[in-house]
Amino acid sequence: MAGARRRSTRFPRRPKSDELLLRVMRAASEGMVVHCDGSIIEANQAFADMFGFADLSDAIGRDVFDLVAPESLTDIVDSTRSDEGAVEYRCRRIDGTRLVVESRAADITFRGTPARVVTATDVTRRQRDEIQLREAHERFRLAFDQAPIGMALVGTDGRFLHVNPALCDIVGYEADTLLLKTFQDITHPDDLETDVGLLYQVLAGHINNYSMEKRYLHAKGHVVWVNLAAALVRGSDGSPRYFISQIEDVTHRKRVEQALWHETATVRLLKGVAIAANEATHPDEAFARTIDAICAHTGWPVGHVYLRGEDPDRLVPSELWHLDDPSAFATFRALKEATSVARGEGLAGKVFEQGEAVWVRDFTPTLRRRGIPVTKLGVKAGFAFPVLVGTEMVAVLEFFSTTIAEPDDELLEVVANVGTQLGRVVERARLQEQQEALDVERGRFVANAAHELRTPLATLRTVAGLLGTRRDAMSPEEIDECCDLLERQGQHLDALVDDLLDLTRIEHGDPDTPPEEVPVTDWVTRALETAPPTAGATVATDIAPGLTVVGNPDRLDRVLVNLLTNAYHHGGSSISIVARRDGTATRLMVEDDGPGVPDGIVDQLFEPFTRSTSSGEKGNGLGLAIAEGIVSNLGGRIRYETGDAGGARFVLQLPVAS
Amino acid sequence: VTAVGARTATVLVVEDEADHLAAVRLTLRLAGYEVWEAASGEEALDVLRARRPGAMLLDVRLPGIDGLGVLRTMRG
Repeated sequence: MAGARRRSTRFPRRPKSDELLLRVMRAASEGMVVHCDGSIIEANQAFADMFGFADLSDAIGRDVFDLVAPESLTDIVDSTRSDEGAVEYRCRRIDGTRLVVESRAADITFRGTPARVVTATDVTRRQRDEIQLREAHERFRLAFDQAPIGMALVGTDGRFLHVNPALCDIVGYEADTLLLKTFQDITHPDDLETDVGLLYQVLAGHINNYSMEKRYLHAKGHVVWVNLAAALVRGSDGSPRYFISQIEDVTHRKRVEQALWHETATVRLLKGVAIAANEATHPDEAFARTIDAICAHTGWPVGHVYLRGEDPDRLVPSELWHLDDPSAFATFRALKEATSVARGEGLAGKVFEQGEAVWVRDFTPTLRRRGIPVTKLGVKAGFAFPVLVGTEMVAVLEFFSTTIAEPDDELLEVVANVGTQLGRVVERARLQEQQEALDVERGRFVANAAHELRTPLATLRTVAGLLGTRRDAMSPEEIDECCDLLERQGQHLDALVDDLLDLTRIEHGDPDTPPEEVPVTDWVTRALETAPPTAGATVATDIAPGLTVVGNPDRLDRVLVNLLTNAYHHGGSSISIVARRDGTATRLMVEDDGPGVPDGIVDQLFEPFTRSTSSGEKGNGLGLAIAEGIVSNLGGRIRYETGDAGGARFVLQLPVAS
Repeated sequence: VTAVGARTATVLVVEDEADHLAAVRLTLRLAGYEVWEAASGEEALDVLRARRPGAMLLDVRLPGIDGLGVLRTMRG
């Protein structure tokens, strides 16, 4: 605290200066003491207060070194060599409590003897504050560096001033590298505007801080999702100094969120398609709603449907489109609708060829090869998938994007499912159509059958009525005629009912009629016995030797008898039966020299109740239908053609062996 | 069928199916009509060219010229 050596002095006593010093000491706010070799000669009240003396006089005569803490005594020895500069000492009050004192000292002559004047300022609080500040700074540094989330001090220009290891990990840069960059350098371009906008709002004082979800570009190039919270630190004058930013890596959460969102969107898409599939009254409606749903799901602007047409090897462009902007894709649409596509031709053609979904990430090279300017069409990428009924492809749905798009396997899997659902719609529509056609056919059949039954029944009733009420007025010949008529009409009805039942049975596959091998000559002979030529007609036969057919004899007879009867009714007088071997089949032709079947009914010739209007009421219109049913049950075919002489020719193809 | 005059009234029946024709013929005869017959459109027109019946029962479905054809020829 003070010099300890006595110095000899050559100066005379200067009491005036002593007085001056004492006045200064009394007025001083800091502690002052004059000592000689440690023994206190004078002290001021501030000094006494600082060291806890109850009264100023108590300090006089005390050893000033007793007030210095032992660990600081050596400092005193050093400092006595110089009169300049302030030195800090740890001291103790008289009650033993500690304090830190900043002190200056100077050699003087006081009351004629060498002495030392010492000032003392209590700096205990200041030193504590400094320590606390240092500790606070250290704590902050620790918190900053060890923080599990990324942290940075960022200049108002965006430059990184300080970054922590967590942030370095998040963005993949070494701290040294990162400190050469601005946050703008590593922010995803799509998020930059928002970020910078918020930053300016803070700088302008509109808001105090901000947080946002944003993307950084990792040093390796991939995207990192973070949650950023930035707060501005202002100087004491209020001017912006730097931002403290906290950056939390939320890539994983984001990925989970996106996966969830994706899954939800997929479920929504499939649900939409399922609803459309259920509600649609026609496949086209289901297709239209599906391309809308898929465009909404993918955000792609173009969806289109190809259908199978008459030509089994080509896909026909439909007029079913989803177009976000019809005018922009007018050329594309016109080009598409102009031509059908073959297997392997273009996107839809590839699906047609491969039977499964196809993705093209970029059409540019293909189009360029074909000399079509890409800009004219406005599409870059596309995918398409088939609508399948079993293994039959009934449609192809295609979608186009204006930008290059990488294949999305998951989406392709989803649309495969969509294709199956749409296939069921088509299948259902087909069944419904078949059912409706069947219903119409059945209705017509019943109406026709009823009409056929009613005509003879009307005659029966009339005649039976006359016999019952007017027999007296009838001649014996008339009564006989009536009885014959009743008999004939009864037989006619019987035959009609038999034919109707047979036709029904035959249409159901004709069970209980076991097939056997039948020589054709036997077959023709039997048929001619059952249905001999009517008056004036002749039947010529020309049958290759050894010919056989496989079928139930009764059914085979029925076929030939029906064809012969048909020829007797409608043909001319000259009828021929020709039978030949034709590969693995036997071909038999029944031909007449009549006028042939009128053009108007050739197409329905083998349908029940088809009759020529000009043929009157001959036959019940079931003969050819029954013949056709039997032949097709035997695995054969029957067809009509006009004979060389213009007559009717029926050609039978029957298998030789089963 | 309208009876033009009792006892003397004539009806031409045009019907190709023999049993139907027989039933109609008998019915009309027992009702007191004189019955003329034709089994086809051509036959009917032959009869009509010679004389006119009081009434005509004309089947539409006929071989050759059908019933409607007979009517058209009659009117024309």
